[in-house]
Amino acid sequence: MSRSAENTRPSKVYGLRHNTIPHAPRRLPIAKRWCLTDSRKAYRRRPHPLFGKRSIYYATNRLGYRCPGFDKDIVDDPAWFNLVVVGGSETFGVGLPLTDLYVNLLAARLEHYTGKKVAAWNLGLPMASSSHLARMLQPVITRLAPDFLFLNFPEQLGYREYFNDDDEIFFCEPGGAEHRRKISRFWDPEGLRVDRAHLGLESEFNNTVNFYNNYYYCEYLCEHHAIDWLYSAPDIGSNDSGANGFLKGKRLEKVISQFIAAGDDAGHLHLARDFIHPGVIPHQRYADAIFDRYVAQYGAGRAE
Amino acid sequence: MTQAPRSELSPEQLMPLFSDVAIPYTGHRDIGTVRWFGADSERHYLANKHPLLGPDDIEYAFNRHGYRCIEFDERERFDEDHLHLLIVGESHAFGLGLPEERSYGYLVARELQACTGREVQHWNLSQGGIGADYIARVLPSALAVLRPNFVILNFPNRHRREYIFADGNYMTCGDGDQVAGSVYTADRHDAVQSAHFEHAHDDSNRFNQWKSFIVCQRHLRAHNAMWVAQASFSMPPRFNQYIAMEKLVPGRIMDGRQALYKDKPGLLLARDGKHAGIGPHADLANDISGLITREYALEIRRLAEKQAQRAG
Repeated sequence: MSRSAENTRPSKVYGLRHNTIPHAPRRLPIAKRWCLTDSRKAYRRRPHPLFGKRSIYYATNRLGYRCPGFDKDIVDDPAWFNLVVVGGSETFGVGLPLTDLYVNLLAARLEHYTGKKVAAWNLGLPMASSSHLARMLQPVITRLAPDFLFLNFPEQLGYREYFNDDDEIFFCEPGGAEHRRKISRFWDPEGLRVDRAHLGLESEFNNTVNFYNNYYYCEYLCEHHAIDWLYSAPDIGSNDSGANGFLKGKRLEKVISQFIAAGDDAGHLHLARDFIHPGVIPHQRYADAIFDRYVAQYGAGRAE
Repeated sequence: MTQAPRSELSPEQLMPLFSDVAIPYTGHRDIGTVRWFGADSERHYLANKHPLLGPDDIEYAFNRHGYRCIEFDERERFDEDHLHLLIVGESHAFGLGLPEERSYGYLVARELQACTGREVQHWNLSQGGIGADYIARVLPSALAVLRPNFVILNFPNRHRREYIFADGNYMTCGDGDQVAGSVYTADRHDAVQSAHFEHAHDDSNRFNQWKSFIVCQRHLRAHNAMWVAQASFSMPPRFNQYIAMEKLVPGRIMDGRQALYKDKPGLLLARDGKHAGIGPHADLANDISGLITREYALEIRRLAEKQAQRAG
């Protein structure tokens, strides 16, 4: 990027909006029926016993999120309960239909519990990083006024996001990820350049610092606004390296991948159609775990 | 820029991140006491002599970890009467080109000593060329290990970003060619710099600086420290709701303060001819001391009264 251009360009502050939800990165390869690791090619190689070719439809709203449009009337209506979930590919639901996502299962339980209609605003995106959560938080709090906010910090820390001069956002995957997507130098030379730079600067130290800072930032904003919130995060550097000031009271004991039972008879129920992401059973158990934690933490007076 | 590669860090020197028992090593560890450092070089001095500061007037005494202060083990030696001032920032806060006793952190410590009647130990964890990332990374460990009563944070411009590599060394890249903490060969340095420029988008930098500030604020509140900061943000105004604006040092940043001394060359600049000199440091120290004593008047009065009772 040219330095002189950076200094003179009027900033559009794309990622830093405080009152509108930013568009999901336009370069994310989400087709109607296939998404990243959940590809037609992978499916042909290994079909899933439960989900067929047409079982999953990745319908996104106008801004690119896998949930209904952000309707201000619903958000502001006290008859509705705003459930907001921000996270990565598990939250987006790669390889799963909408009905099996933990976000929507949780919404169903909350609906029964609170007696209100629940709007499940799913701001999970595949390849999203903890930086995505931190950047989205301010507009989410301002625009969606969550009654309950769940932050699902991605389990792998190597995911990062970057901007370009046109305020587009690039999501980059960790260098060591097995299913790294190939970026074509013909179709997306800029994406490839950003990705190479990302690999050149990546290290476990940088990833840990980035994750910790994003967590602390999110915690600060949530506590500042006195929001009912919970989070799930990988256990990184907490014991070996000393201090870990993460709020224990708001943390889910397990991350979603810990609900995947290996070697189970019903193995196909534990994995999504791509055989990488968590499947139906982990999502169900995860939704139950979040619900139980929510009731224990904020339940008093919330039930109908 | 060509630099000889240094040996890899020993396991105990590998970067402890967010540790409550250890403060991370800097890129220039184990160098002891030196008379010239960084931009404050003998070569520059011989070409441009400073009106007030001679070759023997400045000593940079580094501790084992590479910071310009006493050894961190010494913290346990102090009795309860002692107060502790932590300063984390960039080259101005480090006091480049100035004797330690002329740097603003030291002057604030003396002022607080006068207000409270107690000895104030000054812990300077500043480094030249660092960015907001460095402050947010070092602060949690410094708060836990040094348990300071007062904290001053000096946030530099938002363009500086820090990268830590697998060998535990780190490097800060900015908007120009300046680099801090680089212990790598020219090839590696250039590769990192060009990767940095690929990502150094202005919105990303401003969000990063602001996020680092919020993270620091969170740590400071958790440790219940008395703190002030020097920072200028360029975020939409609605974001200011998260910042304790009253804790920000008012007035001009260091560069602005230098304009006040343009007719006094001996006071204007430090020995390196680039950084702020004795005058702007004294000016800033006055403002910071004023802000601390105003913001924490009650706490400081209590400290002074307690000390008076003990003495009585």
